[in-house]
Amino acid sequence: MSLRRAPLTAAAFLAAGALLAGCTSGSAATPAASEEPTGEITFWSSLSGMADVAAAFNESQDAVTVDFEEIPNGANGGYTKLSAAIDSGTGPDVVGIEYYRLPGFAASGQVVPLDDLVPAETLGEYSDQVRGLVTFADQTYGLPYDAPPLVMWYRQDVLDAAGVEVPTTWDEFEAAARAVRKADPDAYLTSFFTNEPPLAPLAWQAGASWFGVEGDRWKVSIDDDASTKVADYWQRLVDEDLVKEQVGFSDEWNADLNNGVVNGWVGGSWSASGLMTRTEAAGQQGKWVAAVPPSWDGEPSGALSGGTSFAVTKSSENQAAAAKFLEFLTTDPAAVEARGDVGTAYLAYPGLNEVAEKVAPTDYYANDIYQVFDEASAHVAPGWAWGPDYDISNTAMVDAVSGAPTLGAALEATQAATVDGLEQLGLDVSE
Amino acid sequence: MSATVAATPRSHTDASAARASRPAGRRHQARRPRRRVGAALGTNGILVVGAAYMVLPLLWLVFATTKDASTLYGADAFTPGGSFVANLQRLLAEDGGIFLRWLGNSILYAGAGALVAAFVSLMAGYAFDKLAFRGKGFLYGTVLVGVLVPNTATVIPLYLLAASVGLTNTMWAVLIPAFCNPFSVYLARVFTSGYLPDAVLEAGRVDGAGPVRSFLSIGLPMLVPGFVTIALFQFVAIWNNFMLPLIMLQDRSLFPTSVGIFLWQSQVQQNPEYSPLVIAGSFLSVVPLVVAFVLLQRFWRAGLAAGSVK
Amino acid sequence: MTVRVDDSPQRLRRRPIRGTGGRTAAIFLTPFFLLFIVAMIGPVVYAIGLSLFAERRSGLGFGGAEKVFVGLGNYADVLASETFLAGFGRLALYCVLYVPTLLCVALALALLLDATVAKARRLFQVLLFLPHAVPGVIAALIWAYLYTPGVSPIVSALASGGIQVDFLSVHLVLPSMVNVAVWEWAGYNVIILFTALQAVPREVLEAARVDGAGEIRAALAIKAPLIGPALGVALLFTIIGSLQLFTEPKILSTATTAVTSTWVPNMWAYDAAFNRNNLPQAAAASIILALLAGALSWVVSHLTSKGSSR
Repeated sequence: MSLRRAPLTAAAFLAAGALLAGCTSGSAATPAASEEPTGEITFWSSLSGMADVAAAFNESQDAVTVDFEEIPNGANGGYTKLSAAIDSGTGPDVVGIEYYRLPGFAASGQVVPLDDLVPAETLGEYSDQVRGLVTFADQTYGLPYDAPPLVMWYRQDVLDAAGVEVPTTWDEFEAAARAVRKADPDAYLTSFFTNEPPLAPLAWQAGASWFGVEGDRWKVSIDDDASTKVADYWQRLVDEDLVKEQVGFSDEWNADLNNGVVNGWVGGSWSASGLMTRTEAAGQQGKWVAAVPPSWDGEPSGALSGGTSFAVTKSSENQAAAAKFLEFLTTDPAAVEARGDVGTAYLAYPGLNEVAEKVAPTDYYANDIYQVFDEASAHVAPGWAWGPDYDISNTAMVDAVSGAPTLGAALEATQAATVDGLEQLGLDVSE
Repeated sequence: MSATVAATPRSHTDASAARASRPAGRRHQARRPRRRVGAALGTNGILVVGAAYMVLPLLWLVFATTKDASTLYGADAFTPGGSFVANLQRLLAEDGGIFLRWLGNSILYAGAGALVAAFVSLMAGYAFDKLAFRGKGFLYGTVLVGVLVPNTATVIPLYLLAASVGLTNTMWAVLIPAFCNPFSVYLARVFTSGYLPDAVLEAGRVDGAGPVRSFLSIGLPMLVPGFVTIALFQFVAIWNNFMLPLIMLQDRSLFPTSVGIFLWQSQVQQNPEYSPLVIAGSFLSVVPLVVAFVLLQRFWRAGLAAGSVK
Repeated sequence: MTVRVDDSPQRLRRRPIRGTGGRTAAIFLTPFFLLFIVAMIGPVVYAIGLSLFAERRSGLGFGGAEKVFVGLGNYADVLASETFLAGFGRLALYCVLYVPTLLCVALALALLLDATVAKARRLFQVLLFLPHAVPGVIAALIWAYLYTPGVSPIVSALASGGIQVDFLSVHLVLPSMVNVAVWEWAGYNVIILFTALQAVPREVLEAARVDGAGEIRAALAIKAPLIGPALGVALLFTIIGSLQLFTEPKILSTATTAVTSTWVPNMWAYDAAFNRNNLPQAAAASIILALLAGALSWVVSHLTSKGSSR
């Protein structure tokens, strides 16, 4: 269990920032606050329902018009497209970037700091944890949208038939997996996605901290003890055929959910909508429950699973208008209502979750999912940072999960690739 | 100038050995009928298997275009579904009719590219074949080096250069590389030497035509089959090109069909409803080329015949 | 421009048109070579230049980057990269599997087509050639679906016969990709080789028949060697084509995790440029690939051209 670290934004970045000679990507001169921003801006996101949010914004006022384009998500090349577009000057004004990718974009200067564009009070409303995910070198590079906790989803009826309760510890989880297999040899408690392995949030939940700051160096410890413990645990489950290894979000996974082959999901609060659309045709309403992740040592512990922020890119020629839309998008209840039930979000801005709960498909589930989300959020392990270019690690990890013999070996390969990759960028890294 | 092209001697160096019009297939009959039936069955049987291997995936595509998302996964592959028209309608309406835009872009890039490339290559091939000048060997050598370097190895350098002058994400980023094809110059030289006897050009010169005029008014008309063949090859090469437009273009209204369909395919995981779109789009992309191929067969044969000359 | 009448005695052997030297040649050659410089030479030179530098960040990386001269440092990094070398090895394995398979299939089909007993030659040629009309992206997509359990008639047919095959598993994905390429290109090469077969002189075959050689012996021992030059050309272009492998793995990577983002060198370069934003490294990788591919092609073309002259 790593030592409690204050969010990295505070002392560490401040110290590091003092050592940096270069200038950050400059925030363009913005018009004085007295001018009302107008104009047309473009908005890219891979999240569902954003077209409706853009439409709602356009209807609510006349000054700024938002032109929305849906892009593939990260796993399918969305960030590649974004990066290429920004570099060629044709990027959008506003774009959704998940927390784990934001440092990379900030470090390359592809997104601009928001401290002059967004009022300080707004920025101050967010929790330290979440603010730490969007603040680098003492500047804010994105407005947090959601702060989705790691949440487990189970088929309550399958657990009942197997004679087990919703697991509260990882030992109980393993026992439940065994019981499910025993009750129905074709069924699994859950599956392990090889294309989007959840090792990062699971390691986070176990208390690991893959990226830390030591002075002005990054400390990379992807294969530390806590993470290795997690990897070994899941490898054992895979080896003993207690969980199914498969490609997540694929047709096979869809079919398995529908047919009761896979009866759980290690996901996040955002899973609720997707799970509903994928399983309602099979008549599974009321059968699924959300649960906080099992604990390792009896103490509740959580993590964030994914999460998106919205940022203004370097290509934007109308940063003031972009910022205006940004604020609507992330802080206005109307935006939450407009998005509707296609994307259950556990939002980062205070007060929005009451609105979200009303439009989310909570009826589909057998328990109060937002209460579970609250619980899971309350114990998020502190001190996590995503490193200056997590994409190197992510790519290496996905490749290694398919290629390496065990998940532990995959973590080691990821560690090596990350250190190499960061060193090739010219950064000093300690392990 | 028609089907005899296929049977013409491959090159002047083989002129002595090759015999022109031997009707394909009519040969001295074998003496043993029973062995012949077995041989016929075996030969044609394997050819049928080969042809089936080539055609069945396309047949699958046709049937898949008639299915909607639910019948695609699970129903019998080679039975028609009922959604052909619905799928095509959805395809053409998706995202404000962007598929038609993509088709139009493909036609533009491939068409303009093919025409310009053919013209430029013919001029160069003509010069290499008919004119004498210093450095000819060296220059032709560079052309051959260009043929030997794979296309994809220069794509990223092209992107880097285009990015440095801000030309990425424009149609020129795709067109300019399309205009340049060293292999077409090689083909053009072969065609010129085959189709354009010196005597005709000499006669033109005696009449007082300058070299440019004789090329335009005498050479080009005689080279039309060569022009069409080169243009056709280049059209297909540009239509098929994937890595270059993928890298150069970010604005989806500039995409050719290959990149557009890839964009949809990369969204299938998140949104399984994109599958029928991908399939219908594939179907519509394939049909024009197949039709063009069948109608313009002889130009293909001419090109491949010429291309097999070393 | 002066027009000079050529009144020297006409000779039977070919010679270039006199009096139309450098200046005319310049007119004809400039368009192509201008494009050649812009689209091939320029980018390579620029990429070489770019590859000698690197962007270095400092501290924690949020302070902007500066460009430093690293000489061959990028090249060293690329050649030391495990994923690059693995991709390279994979590409070599792919070539070893693909090139002989393709040529054998194409040669076999061409010889069968040429056999006395073959029927419906035109039809078979068209059918065999059809896959070539399909753009590479679409071909890869069709086969991605044909490899996916639940959609694929092949997989379900095999499953009903008791054989469980996962074409997209780590072990089978390379042969599966070879299959896609063979499907796309076999017909094209069949036509090339078949056309070359048409030029095999009748006397030689008659002589063989008189000597008692059966069809198969005649095919393998006589016809095949006589189309050696065409086989050489097919070999050369197949190798060049296989070095360009990008489209098929990129499409299949959307269907399976067995194809990683750096599965072949071209994808590695793409990943370096667009996922890792390391343009100088991508430039270095492209130059390395261009040099190796060019060298390999040159070697092959020299080895295969020993029989024919230009």
